[in-house]
Amino acid sequence: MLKRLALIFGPVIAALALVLVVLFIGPLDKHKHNLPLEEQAAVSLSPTVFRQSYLKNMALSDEDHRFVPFFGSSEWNRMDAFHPAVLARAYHRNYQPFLLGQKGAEALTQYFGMQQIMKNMHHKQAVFFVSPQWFTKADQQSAAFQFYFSKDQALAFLQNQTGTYADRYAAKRLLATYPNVPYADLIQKVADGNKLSATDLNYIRFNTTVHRNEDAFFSRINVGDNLKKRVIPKVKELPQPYNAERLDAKAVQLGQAQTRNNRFGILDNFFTNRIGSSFPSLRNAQAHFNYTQSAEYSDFQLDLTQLAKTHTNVIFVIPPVNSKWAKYTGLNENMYQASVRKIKYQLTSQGFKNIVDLSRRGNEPYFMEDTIHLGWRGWLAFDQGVAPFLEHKQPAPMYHLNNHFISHDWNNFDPINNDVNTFK
Amino acid sequence: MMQGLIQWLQSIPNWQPYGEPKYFAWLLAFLIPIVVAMFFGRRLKIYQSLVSLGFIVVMYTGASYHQLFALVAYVVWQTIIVFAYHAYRKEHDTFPVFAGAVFLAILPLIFVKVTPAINDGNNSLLGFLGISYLTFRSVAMIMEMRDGVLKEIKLSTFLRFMLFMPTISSGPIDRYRRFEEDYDNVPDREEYLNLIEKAVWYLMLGFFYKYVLAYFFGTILLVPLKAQALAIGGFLNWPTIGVMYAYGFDLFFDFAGYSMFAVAISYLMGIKIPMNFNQPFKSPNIKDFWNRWHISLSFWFRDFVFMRIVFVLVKNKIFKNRNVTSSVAYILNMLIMGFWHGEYWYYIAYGLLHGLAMVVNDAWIRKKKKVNKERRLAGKGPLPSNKWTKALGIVVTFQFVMITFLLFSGFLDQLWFHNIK
Repeated sequence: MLKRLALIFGPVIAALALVLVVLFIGPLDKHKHNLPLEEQAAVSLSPTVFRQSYLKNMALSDEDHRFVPFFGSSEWNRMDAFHPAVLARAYHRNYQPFLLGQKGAEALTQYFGMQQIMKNMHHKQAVFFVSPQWFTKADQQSAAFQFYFSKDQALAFLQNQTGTYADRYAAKRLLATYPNVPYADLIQKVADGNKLSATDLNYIRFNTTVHRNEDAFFSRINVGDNLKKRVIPKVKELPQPYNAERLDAKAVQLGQAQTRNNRFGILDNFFTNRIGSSFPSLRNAQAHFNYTQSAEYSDFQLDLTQLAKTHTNVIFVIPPVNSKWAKYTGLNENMYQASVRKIKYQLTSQGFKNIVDLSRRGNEPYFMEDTIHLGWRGWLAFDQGVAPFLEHKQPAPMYHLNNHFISHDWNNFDPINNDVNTFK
Repeated sequence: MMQGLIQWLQSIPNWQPYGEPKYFAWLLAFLIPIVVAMFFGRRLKIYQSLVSLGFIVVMYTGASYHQLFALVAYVVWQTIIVFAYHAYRKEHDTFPVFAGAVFLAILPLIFVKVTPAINDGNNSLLGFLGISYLTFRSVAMIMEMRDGVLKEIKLSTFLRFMLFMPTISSGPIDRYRRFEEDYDNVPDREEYLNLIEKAVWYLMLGFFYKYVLAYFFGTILLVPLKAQALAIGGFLNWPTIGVMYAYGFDLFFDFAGYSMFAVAISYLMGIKIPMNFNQPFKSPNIKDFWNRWHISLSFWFRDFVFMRIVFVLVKNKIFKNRNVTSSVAYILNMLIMGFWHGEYWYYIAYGLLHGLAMVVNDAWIRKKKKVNKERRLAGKGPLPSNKWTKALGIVVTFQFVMITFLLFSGFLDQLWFHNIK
């Protein structure tokens, strides 16, 4: 009888035990650094790399190779020869960008992503590409946010939070943007200002262990081939050694060759495939766009809070829009500049002094690759602002946060008719 | 108070049967006392009922709490009809009362199935997950009472049968007499060990089917194929052929996997619920396919629809030729099955096609017999019947089934009539 029972349940129990052991221990090489994998992940722009934590932490904790997190959104996918990843590689910079950002990612996504890499951001540097297009009036990000959100982000947030005003606001925003979020009950506790119990914390730690091990097993499976296909081939196109004038000439030459079918200086295949037949209907279609009042300003403040918490020395880049295209679509330049003023005030008034403001350069030839994304000379301008900051030692920043930037007052503050400096 | 109950129900997380690993962990943990007791020859009736009830309630909590009220109302309704007919049938036996009882028993289901068709795709408030399968059980009882084979019914057993938790959402469809016999008797130890052994095997195979294979076909393959097919558009294109096979395999592995879970959990409770699938894609002809695909449903239709139609047609001498009789019965039978799936053209077309296939299948068998007889009289051997002809039969049956599944999936409806590019 016992033998029969053992024959029935033995294999199941053995299998279960094996799974548990594997999940608790994880892959044996999980603490090892693997440079090819790190380099691959840094430019992969795959949703897995962006969502999960394993590869991000592997690269950012590598003491022999310096990876710098580049927070942003869809611009990282504009990989021409002057993309920061290509330049860093071609000129053997002492850093490599780790690209964190995808189409539709905004401040809230970045906030929860930062939770995962918190311990690798302490007293380090970062680049933050902040697009005024994030700051739309209506909250449009729910689907993209949910797509880029992962259990690991929820767990990291739950572990890092200490019940501050920003933590509670982040929990509320998370529940509002993703009502069925994993661990909603615990996040609700944080939103309500309740402390997590010891049981909760044990539960979170247990899940984190299992989850990170799964991550370590599976994240490396499909990291993509951007490095091989889109970065390394372009390294060879660049002049050696580094020479700003020759680079600029090269950028003009390539830009010219690739923008022949339209009068906006937009990449030919973008104009054909992405704009295509909807071109006539886009005339004046953006006249009503408004980036000056948005809940995104409070979300952005969450990012700043997190960066201050980790004493990260961060440089912000604010892009322009393609001026010719903006004229055609009716996008209001005054409104755009007002939103830039508002963003910059939020930064400078709290001690975030490193800002590369490109927002007025959208009329320079071959600066924009398409309607709103940098390309060619735009990337070079980006590099001229960012590279010195990363290459040379910088004084430690002094941040002094103002929680009033997390408020309806600030979200609804109108920078067109009011002086931003009056906001306290 | 009602408000409080609703709030409470909404606050409980919703757990779909066999939906996630956690569900299995909790369910199996709660089953341990039942399994141990049964191993020692006892059935924990009260405990088993409470556990079942708990897992039924969490199927309908959260956002779908109103389904729980629909379920309770439905069970009350069915109980009244079944027991009223039972009382009536002890003394009398007339067709109109029988027909009336069957009609009343399927009335809620008719409402639920017709509502989306006439009300813009909105679901009826009477509906709840599993209503079809509960209806099959009660209607079969009424019919068996009419036949005189089901004489005694008990309220407690009736409720346990109707609300048998492992199979409540999607079958397999059991029969009352078979269920009652299992429920009132505890399997002896040797037999119970065999059941446990099978249960473990079915759980593991079910995991493989539902969470590996169905995921592969239904998510990894099907989703991009559908997007490609819709992007190309038109009447038919290559990705649509891909959708056809991916959907067909997804449907099978998903449903067969689910059925294995339901059977396994039933076995652990000592109830030998019938199996639902038996390697359907190996069928050499369409009739055999329906003996292997969703077996408990097709046997239900055979016993309670097809046989009844044949009986009525023969008794009233509607058709002289018995082949015509059976053909008409096949088509009606499958059409009704199509209507049961839902009031959309593609379900009905699916039913019709399968009905026609049954007719063609029968006609081919008759033709083959005739030809073989002629050949024998002419001194020749019979038409070839070997592994090659059987393989041909399997290939033809499989392709036919896949084509009808593509129809059944509703994807053609989307491609042809609702493709917004």
